Amino acid sequence: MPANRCFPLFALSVLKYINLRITFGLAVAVMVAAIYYVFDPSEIGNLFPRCMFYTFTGYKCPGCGTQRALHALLHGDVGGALRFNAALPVTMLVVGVYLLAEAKRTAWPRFHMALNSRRAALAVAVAIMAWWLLRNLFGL
Amino acid sequence: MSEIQYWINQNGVQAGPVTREELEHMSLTDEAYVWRAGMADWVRITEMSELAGCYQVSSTPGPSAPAQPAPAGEAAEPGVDPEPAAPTDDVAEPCQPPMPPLPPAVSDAYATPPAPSMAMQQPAAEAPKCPPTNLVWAIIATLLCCLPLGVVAIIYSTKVSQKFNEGDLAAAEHYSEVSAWWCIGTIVGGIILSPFVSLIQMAMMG
Repeated sequence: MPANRCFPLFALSVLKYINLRITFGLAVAVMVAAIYYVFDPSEIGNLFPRCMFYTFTGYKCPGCGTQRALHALLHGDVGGALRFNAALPVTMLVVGVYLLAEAKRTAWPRFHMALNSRRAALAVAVAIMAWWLLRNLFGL
Repeated sequence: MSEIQYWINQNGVQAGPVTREELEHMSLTDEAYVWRAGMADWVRITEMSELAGCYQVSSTPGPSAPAQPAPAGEAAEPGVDPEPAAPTDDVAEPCQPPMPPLPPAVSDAYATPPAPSMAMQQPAAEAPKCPPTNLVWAIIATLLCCLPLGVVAIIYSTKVSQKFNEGDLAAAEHYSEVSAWWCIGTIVGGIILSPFVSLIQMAMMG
């Protein structure tokens, strides 16, 4: 232990063994999953947030249907999830990979670097734009 | 133990970190500069005995072989040994050594010795990492939230690593912050505004 640390900092450093961020993230994820499992966002008159873009323009945004897809997915209805928002399963996979890279940043620096490179970010942007366009053109 | 990682600067183009093995494949000439953790400043690759044979001797006339190994605008403070290579107990991530100081500006006109490096704003041994690109948050904001403005955050994310690779750490940090604010704005805005949207929708439907 470095001696030049004052006590509060040392006490806080104990927390790093618990890993607050992962604990907190998991807690939030479980809560969100529970909410979307119990309540159905496609019911009429519920309090789930609505897509502003869709409300005002009539066009779907890239995230439209995510909540209904989540509900379907949590009930094991993969087909329904794909119908509501086909990008959701892919997105969840991609986000998982990115979180893994973040967690393993020191162990696999190159993996992290590749995923955060300009090219990767551009690819994500282009993919989302393409999805946005395609789903409005073909009613996906 | 991880391998030693080097930063390279050849003709003003900076690269790194690379391992020794990758360095051998980079077709470096003896004009290149090298830096690795533990060194006070950049040196010519020819002066790194451990890298002998990793570079080609260029055909440019050698008489003016620019001396002045490490011009470095007083990066080292008088009393402090810059970057002690000693095995201190908690060195932050051996895989990501600190950002090397600005390389000496290697001028295009060969035969002239490299100009002395620009004045350093930050002393060495600081700011090792690429600032977060916030790409995950941007994706979540775009696809799992209700505003498509997250796309803007993604665009700014692309600039973070770009600027970092160009060696412009300040700009990278700036874009990192901008993309973070777009993520926060998108998510918070989506959550705050959505009840109003629901109300408007209900009102429109009668």
